[in-house]
Amino acid sequence: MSEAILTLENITKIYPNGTLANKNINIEFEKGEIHSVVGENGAGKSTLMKIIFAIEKQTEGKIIYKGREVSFASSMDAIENGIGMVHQHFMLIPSFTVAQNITLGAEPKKGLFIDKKAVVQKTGELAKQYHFDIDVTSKVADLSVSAKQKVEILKTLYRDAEVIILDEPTAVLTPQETEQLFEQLKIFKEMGHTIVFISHKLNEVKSISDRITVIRDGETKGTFLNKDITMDQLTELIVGRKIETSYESYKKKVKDPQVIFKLEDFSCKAHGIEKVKNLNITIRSGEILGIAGVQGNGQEELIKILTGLEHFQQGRILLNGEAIEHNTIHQRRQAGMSYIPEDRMADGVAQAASVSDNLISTVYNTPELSGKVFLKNKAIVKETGNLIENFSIKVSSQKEKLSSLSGGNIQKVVVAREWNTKPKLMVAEQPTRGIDIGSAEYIHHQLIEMRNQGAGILLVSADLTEVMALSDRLVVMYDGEIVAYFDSLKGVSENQLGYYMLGIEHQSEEEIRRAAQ
Amino acid sequence: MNNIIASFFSASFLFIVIRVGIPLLFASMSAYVASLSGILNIAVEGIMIFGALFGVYFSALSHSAWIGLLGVIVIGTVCSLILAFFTMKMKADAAMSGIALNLFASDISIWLLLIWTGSKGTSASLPSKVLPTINIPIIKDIPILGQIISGHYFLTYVCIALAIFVYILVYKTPFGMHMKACGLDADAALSVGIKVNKVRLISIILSGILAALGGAYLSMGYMPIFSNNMTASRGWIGIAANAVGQGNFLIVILATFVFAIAQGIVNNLALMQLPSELINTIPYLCVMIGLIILSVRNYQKARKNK
Amino acid sequence: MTAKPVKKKQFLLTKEKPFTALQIITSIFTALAITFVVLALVSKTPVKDFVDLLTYPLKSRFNFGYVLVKMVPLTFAGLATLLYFRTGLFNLSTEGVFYISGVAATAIAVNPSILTGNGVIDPVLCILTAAIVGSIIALIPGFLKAKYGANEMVISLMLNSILFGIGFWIIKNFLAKQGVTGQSSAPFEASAKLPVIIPKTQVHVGIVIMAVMVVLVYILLFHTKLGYTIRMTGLNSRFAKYSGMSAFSLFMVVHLIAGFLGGMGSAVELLGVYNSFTWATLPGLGFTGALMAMLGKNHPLGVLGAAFGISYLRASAQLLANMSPVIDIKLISIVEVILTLMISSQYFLRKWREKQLLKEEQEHE
Repeated sequence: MSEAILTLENITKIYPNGTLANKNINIEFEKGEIHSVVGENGAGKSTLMKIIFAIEKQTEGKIIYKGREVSFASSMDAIENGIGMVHQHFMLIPSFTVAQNITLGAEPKKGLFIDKKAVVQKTGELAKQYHFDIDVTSKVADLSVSAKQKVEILKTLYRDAEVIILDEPTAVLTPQETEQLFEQLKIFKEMGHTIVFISHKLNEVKSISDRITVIRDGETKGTFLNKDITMDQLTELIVGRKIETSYESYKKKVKDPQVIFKLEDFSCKAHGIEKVKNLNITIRSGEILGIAGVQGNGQEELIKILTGLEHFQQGRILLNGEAIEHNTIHQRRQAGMSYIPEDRMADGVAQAASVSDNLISTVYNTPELSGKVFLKNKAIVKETGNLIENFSIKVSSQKEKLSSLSGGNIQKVVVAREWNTKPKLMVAEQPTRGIDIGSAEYIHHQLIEMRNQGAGILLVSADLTEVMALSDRLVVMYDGEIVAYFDSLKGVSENQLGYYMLGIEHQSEEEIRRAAQ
Repeated sequence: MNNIIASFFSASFLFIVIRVGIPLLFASMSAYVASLSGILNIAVEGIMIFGALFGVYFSALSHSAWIGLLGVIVIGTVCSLILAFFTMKMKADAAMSGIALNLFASDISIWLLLIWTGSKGTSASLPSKVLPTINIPIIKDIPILGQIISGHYFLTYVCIALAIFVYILVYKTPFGMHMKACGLDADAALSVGIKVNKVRLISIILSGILAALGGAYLSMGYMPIFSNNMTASRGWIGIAANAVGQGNFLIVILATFVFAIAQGIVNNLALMQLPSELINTIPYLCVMIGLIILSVRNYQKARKNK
Repeated sequence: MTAKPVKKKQFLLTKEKPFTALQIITSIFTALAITFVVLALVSKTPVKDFVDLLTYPLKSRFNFGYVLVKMVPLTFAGLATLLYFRTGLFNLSTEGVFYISGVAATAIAVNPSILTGNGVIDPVLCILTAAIVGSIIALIPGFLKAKYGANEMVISLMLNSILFGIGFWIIKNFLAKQGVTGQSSAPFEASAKLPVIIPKTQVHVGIVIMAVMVVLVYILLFHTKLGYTIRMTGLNSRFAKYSGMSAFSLFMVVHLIAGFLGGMGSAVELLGVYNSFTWATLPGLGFTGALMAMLGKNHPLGVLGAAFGISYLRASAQLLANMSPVIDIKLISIVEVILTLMISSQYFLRKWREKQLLKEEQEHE
């Protein structure tokens, strides 16, 4: 093989709060290869990439780049040395244009001033050269998710990156867009770029990598040639056991299913743009209705409004036959709605509060836990103790700060709390994003359990595998509309869904209307 | 009464507006450059106090207004470096640090006055110097215009020059672009190799110097001495003007001068037999109303967009 | 990757609570050391001055009583501000509330036609009036914040200056001693004054009221539903909203209570210490209250501790001011600023702690 371009030696990282994110990591990246780094979410991949890119500083260990030890003082240093990174969360400034975003930090100058003409011209030429179809004068805020990713890649190319790190690039893409990205990556490889591909999606890793490094619990479990390792072996290295891909066998039929939830002619706008158009959906007790779709096709707006986080606009929302569209969040919860939010750190928890405080936020004012004025602290201790036990949340004490828990355990806190209100409708938005597979599986089982006990579940997820494994019925959203409806997932393939998600195909009005039945 | 109304349209009224507006403009520019790059500098008031005090002290020590001015710049830099060290390096709470510095400045300036002069009230016994008044040749002879824009203190023209400098810096140079990027999304700026801490450090130093010069304007021109509480919340008015501007420098300047006009009116009214305690609240009332209008508008805009 | 249990039973400074204590102690030492350095620069007898500053309040019963008297308004301001901070509000209106409520209390206390002459009812009447006025005033920034999300910090500061103007105007024109044009009010009626409870000191019954308020705020925060919503909203307002709590009504209630505490503190201070209203400037308690809340880590007992510590030094400095050319109450601002900067620093001593954590991690293997 060719020579190593980037070597990590014994990298250890401990965060100030005492979290050990990386432990003695050793990896060698070779010139001109596509090298995947795989591991569960929370295994320490992102931290490692941040260390390479000088966003974080390693506590111990060495980075060797092009044969000499380096200690990049800043990301600028890394960039100037030819390392580029496409972050999982886009690092773009929405109010700037595409061209401004690409050139930011390395603007063409005329004397002391920015050469505004050259900014547009240079970036336009770059986009053309790499066959990116993008208008460099448009504002980033107006772009689709995949276009934003293209801007991110253009940013690294503009800076002559030799090593391009892509952190979970496919999480926001449809299968077809993913394919397109992979074609692009292969071209970069042929041009001599080294691609570091971070992912937890094994099929993608298998299809594109030359070599694969596995990370588990912050440690390397070895680097392998793609051809030398099977999918099953990889899975075992990552989680230490096999994972479920279908939950059919756990599902039970619910007697006498009732209509729990109905959306009628639901529409909404944001900043004058129609985000959701004329949605009609029905959910019954004991079933999971999945909503699949690429991020940014109206799902977030829909969920925000139906859970009451944003103001209602048009149509009707019925819970148990009662219109709730003008109700407060508190009233909606009283009526039997529960909600696992997409952004659990921002909405779902108070990180600096105790585990106990986080577990009672939706039930603290019930007669069991409080009187007119005072909290019943004894009852609260008992209640949270039960929840911690039932959901096997790993904590040292109820009073422990939530922020010291792992991502998976934090999400268990959210799910336990939402389960505890005995919901009739559970809105689960990206319920397992970013958490370890063990916890994810556990949460999936809890959702199935709620379903079996008669709750209706609305599941929104960008993870196709997840929606397909859990849903009884499924709708696909594209551009604020339902473009496809399946009353059973039997025989439906990911690719098929991908065509609907991209808006290439569209079912007939008739077929779509069945979602409301 | 007619005389009073007429006085608001006279050249001398506009002259007064500039005279009272300049320290406010120093303050709002100070708040602006810091907030643009994502730093909350609410120590503007405190740094102004230090600027005013040390301008007097250094000029008295050196018998030179110019060395005093140099001292002011140094003090502004030192204050902002302290603020930067704690908020950026030590991750201290920016609001609390700012408040602590303000309190410190207001208290310790009185103590220093006591140590230096034996009085807690003013620096009258220190032989401090004032910066010169500038009469612009040719322009000073133009009727009306000359009366308005000529004959101000030296720092008035420095302030105007600095306003032009800030405008060019922010809107025409890469550094200005980087400031905005740091303020809008520091992680994004960092990811393209912008040295966020460096950009912010430079911004806060600039912010500190602007505030300190605002203070020096008060004690080395506007008044020839330092007196207790002489900044009179001007730093806070600057912060409010910056809040009204929402990142747009020209609107920040506009807001500043609206407040300056209110102050000018107060100065005019003070000559009449009106209760001065109540009249003096007018500029603060204007700022408050300005902020209320702004937030009500933002609130309505946000509702409309949904 | 949570911290693993430690094998040996040992006192670990890296644990959260001991580490906080270590930070506070280090900050206090640094602040005092720097104060000493400053004294050494200006004083001929720096050691004597420094020792005096640290020990003078212990030299007599009166002196120590003076510390207790000084801490009453600081504690009240700290408690009011703490409620704002706990709710996630950066409101500094306690300054103006103190002033205008004091004017309200004065309006009653100088007016024999309203007062009953009863030494219990009269102070209660004054204090309640002040507290209610405080509540109403605090609702102005409260409503603007709750309804429109207006910047409560700048608005509350502007409001302070406005309230000062109005208050001072009222004192001069309506409450001054007849025939005297001065900057103070007529003297308070004797029945309105708060009685001294420790002989040979100035310690008045206000310190008991203060202690009761500390306990009530503690109970409010940690044992009531309202306290729970306050804490959750302050820690993450989006989480509170998502959980079904209403920010609007909470903000209104919190401003109401904080204004009440501020107004109460003002009346207690006036009637306990002064014989007439003589504040010719804002008392500075909005900012100092913020410092107390911060230094006390937003905990009622912490505020009490911070108020005691700062009052101890302030009282000492004020008592010494007549005897020393360099010591003055304003000197204590050095201690205050250093404590604030250091204690609010998240990274203070962090490197040391990180190294210790790394060592502990390695010892495990």
